[in-house]
Amino acid sequence: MLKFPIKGAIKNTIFEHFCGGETIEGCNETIKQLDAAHIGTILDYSVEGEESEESFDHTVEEILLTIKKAAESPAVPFSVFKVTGIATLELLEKVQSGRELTAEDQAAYARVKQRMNTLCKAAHDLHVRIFVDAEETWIQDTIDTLTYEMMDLYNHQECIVWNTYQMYRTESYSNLVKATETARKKGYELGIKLVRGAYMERERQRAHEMEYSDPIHATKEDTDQAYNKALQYFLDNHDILSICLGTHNEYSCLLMVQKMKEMGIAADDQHFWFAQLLGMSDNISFNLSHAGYNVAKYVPYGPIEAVMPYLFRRAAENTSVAGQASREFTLLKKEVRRRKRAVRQDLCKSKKAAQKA
Amino acid sequence: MPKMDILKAPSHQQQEKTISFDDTSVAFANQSNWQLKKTFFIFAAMNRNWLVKIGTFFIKLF
Repeated sequence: MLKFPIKGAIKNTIFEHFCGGETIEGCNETIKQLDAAHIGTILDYSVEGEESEESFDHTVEEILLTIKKAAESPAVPFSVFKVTGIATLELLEKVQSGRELTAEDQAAYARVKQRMNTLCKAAHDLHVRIFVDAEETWIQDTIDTLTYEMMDLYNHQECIVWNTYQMYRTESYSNLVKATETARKKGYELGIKLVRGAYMERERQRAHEMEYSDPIHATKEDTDQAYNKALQYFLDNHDILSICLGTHNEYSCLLMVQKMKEMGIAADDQHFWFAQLLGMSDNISFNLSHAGYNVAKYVPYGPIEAVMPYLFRRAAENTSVAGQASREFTLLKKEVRRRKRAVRQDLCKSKKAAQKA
Repeated sequence: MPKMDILKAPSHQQQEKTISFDDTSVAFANQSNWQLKKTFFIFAAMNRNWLVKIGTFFIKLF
């Protein structure tokens, strides 16, 4: 448990910057501020609870509240959840491995499917789009299977359920192609959230320890190339696809903007979204939104103690690399200087005006 | 099946503008001078590797 002065200091600084609040209601101010700039909020319940049936049921209740919030507020265009919030990693892995499930496992897996259905059905009934977040490769096939089942149930009229593709995975592009072909065959819409990926260290460590080939692209350039190739694939198939570019990569965002212009697609076409994390890459989010594109921010929320790992990750990725300040810090310095200059110019102008008078 | 709300054109339709991700006046337009200073100091602190390492260590202790 964090003690009072430390908790207060964190709350008023990095927590306030990177998180919306401790509860959904606590996020209202953030939602309002983002909405003022025509930026949507994706409420991300960031608490990683214990792996118990009670904790999973509690997570479902909380996600249902975020779906309800999205249904009530146009400023909340998506909801989101992680399958490991409603199932044990061990069970998901066992299903993927093809090992025989015990009667207990089967019952537990049936409950996972039921929880997944509760969330997606609620989203469908309330016309709210819902992202299923991507996770580690050794459970991702199970997550994909569950998600496609939901799409087949709820995406025939509207694109409600969206799957996430981590383009640092060597297999992601072919998975996306297969998913599109299946969606076309079965006649449902496919919502795709394209990200680069977040579990590289864990993936590589496991591949090394268990002696199988690295599932991640060898270089960042290969990942970038795969990401942009997927973007082009989406454009070629956007009759049945909807996309959310979950990225802080400026080039990928500009590439999408350029392609949309070339194809005569309106900036605010609802099949095209951009998303960044709250407190990060505001230069991308606010400039895209200013130009009329659909933008949303991932807004994590939860008790301060529970979101500390998330805050540590944000702090770590904003440190200088080899003496080079982060992009965020460089832009902040630029804006501080710009405002100081503007104040000086205003002062000069008023002095001159006073002299003339 | 009624058309879903998400397919309605949003109220913020604007004339298309040229995008520059270097335009900090737009990027930080929602931050007052006071908020911008605060954000600046948070990022200035996070920019220091040693401070993040020490901070993370002590917070974990408490």
